[in-house]
Amino acid sequence: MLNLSLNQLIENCKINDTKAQGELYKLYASKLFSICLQYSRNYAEAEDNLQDAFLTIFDKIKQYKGKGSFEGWIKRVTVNTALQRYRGEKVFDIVNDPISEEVDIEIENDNISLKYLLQIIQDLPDRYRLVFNLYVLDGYSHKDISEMLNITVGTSKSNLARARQILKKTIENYREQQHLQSL
Amino acid sequence: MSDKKHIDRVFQEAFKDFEEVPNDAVWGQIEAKLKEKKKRRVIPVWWRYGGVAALLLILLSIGISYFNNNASVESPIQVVESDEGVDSGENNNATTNSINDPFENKEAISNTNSSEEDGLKNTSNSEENTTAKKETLFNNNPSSSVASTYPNEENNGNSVKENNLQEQKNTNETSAQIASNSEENINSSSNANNSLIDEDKIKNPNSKDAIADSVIEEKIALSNDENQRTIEEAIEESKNIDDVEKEKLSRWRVAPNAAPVFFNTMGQGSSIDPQFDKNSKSTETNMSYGVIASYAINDKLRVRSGLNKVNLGYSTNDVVVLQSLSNRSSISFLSNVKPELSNSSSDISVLSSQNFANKSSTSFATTTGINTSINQSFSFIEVPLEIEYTLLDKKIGFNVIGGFSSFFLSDSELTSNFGSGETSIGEANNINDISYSANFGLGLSYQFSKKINLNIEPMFKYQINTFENTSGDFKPYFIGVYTGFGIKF
Repeated sequence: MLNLSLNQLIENCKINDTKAQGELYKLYASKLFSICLQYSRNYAEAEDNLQDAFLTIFDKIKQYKGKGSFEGWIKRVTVNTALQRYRGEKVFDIVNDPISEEVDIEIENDNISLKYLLQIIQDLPDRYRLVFNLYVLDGYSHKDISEMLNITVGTSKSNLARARQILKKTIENYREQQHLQSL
Repeated sequence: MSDKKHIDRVFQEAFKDFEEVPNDAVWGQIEAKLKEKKKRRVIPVWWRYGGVAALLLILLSIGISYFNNNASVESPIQVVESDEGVDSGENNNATTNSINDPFENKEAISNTNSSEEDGLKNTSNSEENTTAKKETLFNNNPSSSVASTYPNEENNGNSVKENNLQEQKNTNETSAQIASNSEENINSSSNANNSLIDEDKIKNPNSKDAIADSVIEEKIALSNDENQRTIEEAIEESKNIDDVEKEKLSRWRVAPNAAPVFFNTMGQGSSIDPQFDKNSKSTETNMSYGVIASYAINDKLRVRSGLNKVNLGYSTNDVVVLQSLSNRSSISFLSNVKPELSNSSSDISVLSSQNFANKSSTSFATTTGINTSINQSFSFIEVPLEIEYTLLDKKIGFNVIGGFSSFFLSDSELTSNFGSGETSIGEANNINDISYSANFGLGLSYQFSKKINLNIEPMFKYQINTFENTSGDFKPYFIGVYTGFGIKF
């Protein structure tokens, strides 16, 4: 099966060939699962999202006409699956106080474990998490994000600033605790 | 102290090559859902079509009852009458005008009239009394004339004009009559009191004349431009009503039909057992009958659905049917047939004659039939969903038809002619309960009247998913020539 070209694999998936679908899953599952982990609230929901994403991919693969990279396409499908799940959720902790858009939020560049970083992203409120992921990790512009999440550009910007602040604070608290423990 | 970094950079660097292998269970779930979907996909599509067909039937029945109700409300004569009801108001005015005229005539004719007032009262009373009759006479007249003009509207206009001309000719005579009437009325009024007008009318035979006069007068009034216009309007309206009706009339059609159907298969193969792949097969002519209802979306397109009972069958030739006395024959039963357990005769074996020749060394207790045929027959309830495209819509119509059918298996049997008469061998177990077909055909129709036409539709139906385990290249189809009368609503 490995000698099958990606294009052949895609073609086989288009005719609902179960074997090809399995191959495609093996090829991309870990990449897409990382996206799911970032965009979801926890591990279990990330699994659910991965499942939904693959089902959507197999369902819509006929619509992929070979324009643009396939990996880009399936990543977008995966992100959209997560967005669909969390987009509708309300942001309860609406903060009305104007946020100074400090672009230069800096933290000390110690080795912070990836696991911890993932944990604190997942702990962010849904909207902040989505905006932070889209902007910082996947490089979407605020304009794109505003369209994807059906919010204004201003909201997107303030959500991002808020997310950064929360993350910074969390990391600093974490550091402090670690420091205290090490003493 | 480590250097400070922008928080975005920290996350970007950390997640740059982040990959995590998900639990294997995730794929298991995806696989299960995919399989479920695949299974579901085959049937629901056709259930959906079945649903559409059912919906169409429901709509049809609602539509029929709705249009039937409407037909009674919007029947042309009633519409005309109600129009006349409006018109009669105008006409009554016209009547009073025209009746005023004869007074003047009277005055002119009978200058020597001594009791003008009496005459006026008399005539005005008789006028009132006769109004009801006038109206009925009047209403009857135009409504019947307009109604009678339905078949030919242009002639109608002419005939109305002719009537008017005749009426105008009559006016000369009328004025003379009016003169004599008024004289007589005056006489009667001088004889009797005004309070006895009703009696007077009954006694006086001339009152009939008065009625007739007033009717004629109205007719004269009809010849006025105003009235002509109203008639033209009425005709135009009736035209419009006609047009509307034409549209409404052709929307729905119900066509009971019957058809001889010929079942056949493309390519070699067998639905019964692989050993019969190369046996010759002969088709049978069976019957299909049912009802098709259709709805015209526009002039060209019709959507139709309905219910058909279809019987199909074919024979596999060159078959040896054996009846062994031992409990178990050495030959296994046909792969796609569930044997008849209640069969009174002992085990029956069916073999292709070629196979039989090969195995002839084996000893059989009894052979009951050599080179006979086995006959597989099955019947379905068919629910078609088709679109009809009209190419020609004249007295003789021509259209093309395409669509799908869902088939619901109602009966299947495998019989053989051996021993004495037909013996049931068993029931085919590989015919799907729900199958479908792709249909296309041509439709010819002949219009007997606006409502009834004769349809002849040769249809080709390519069956899909009918059999589960066919061997060889068994692609069944059937051809039917559907004939029936269509009734339009």
